[in-house]
Amino acid sequence: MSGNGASSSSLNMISGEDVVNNNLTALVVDDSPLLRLLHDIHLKKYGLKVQVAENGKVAVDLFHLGASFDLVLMDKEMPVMNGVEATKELRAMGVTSMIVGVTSKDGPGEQQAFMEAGLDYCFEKPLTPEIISILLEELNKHNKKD
Amino acid sequence: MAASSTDPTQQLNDYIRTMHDQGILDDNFDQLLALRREQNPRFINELISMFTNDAEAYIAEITNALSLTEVDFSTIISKLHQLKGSTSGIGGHRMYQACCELRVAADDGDKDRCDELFLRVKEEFNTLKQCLDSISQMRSNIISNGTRSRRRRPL
Repeated sequence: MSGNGASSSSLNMISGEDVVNNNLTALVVDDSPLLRLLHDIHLKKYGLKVQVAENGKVAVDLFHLGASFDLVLMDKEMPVMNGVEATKELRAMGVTSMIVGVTSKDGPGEQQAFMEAGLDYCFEKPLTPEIISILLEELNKHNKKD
Repeated sequence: MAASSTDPTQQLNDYIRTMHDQGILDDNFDQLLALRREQNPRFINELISMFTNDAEAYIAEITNALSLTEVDFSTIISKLHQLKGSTSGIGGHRMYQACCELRVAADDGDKDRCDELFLRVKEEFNTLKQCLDSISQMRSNIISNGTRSRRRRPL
């Protein structure tokens, strides 16, 4: 499930029950402190271990240092290094984490360009608990196959 | 006409519903209310405070950028993006819409339109801030009353 360019519509809208998994890790990449906090809290509710990064460069540096995450929530517009550049760099490094883009509502081509950088899915921000539970369900299914 | 509730929690719920009806708040705010922070019942109030402080800082930076002889549209767009993100996170629907319109004007490099739309952003921020301050106050009263009730329980 790395960079397959799947759109958000290809997710199965199934129940989010039984997705609590204490073994999953997540990285929230967003320049907004409030959105970092919100996504951090939402993910921790599902038992994930969460780290945050304020821009794409910090995220890429974490991976360069050997960190790994099951899930990366990547904001698109960020200073220093934006989400598109960071996603391209992570995929070029061979990162196979599920990378989920989060964008604002404007710009019809915004999600498409972001998806082409190597995202697995892309949603409007902020992510709702329902979307998060569906993503975790997909992650759990993916991990069971490995 | 139905009698108004004197129950503080019901009053808070009614107030939030009114803010929804007026388009000031949207579902994202409800998502915040649904969050549970057992260790910190004042979490929502802290989040509101965080949003207000951040928004005021972004608005100040946009004000500076717009006031320059050569308008710094790059800074405006950057700070506006952050303001939009925070506003969306807190559930400020009308303010978010105003930010979107300002973003278009900034992308076009239209100073006059930016001035006009920025005024609306600030007006919507003031409205949203008043709304959130009211909610914050009502929640504080509910939490305080809840604490006092527990202390009155016989040992």
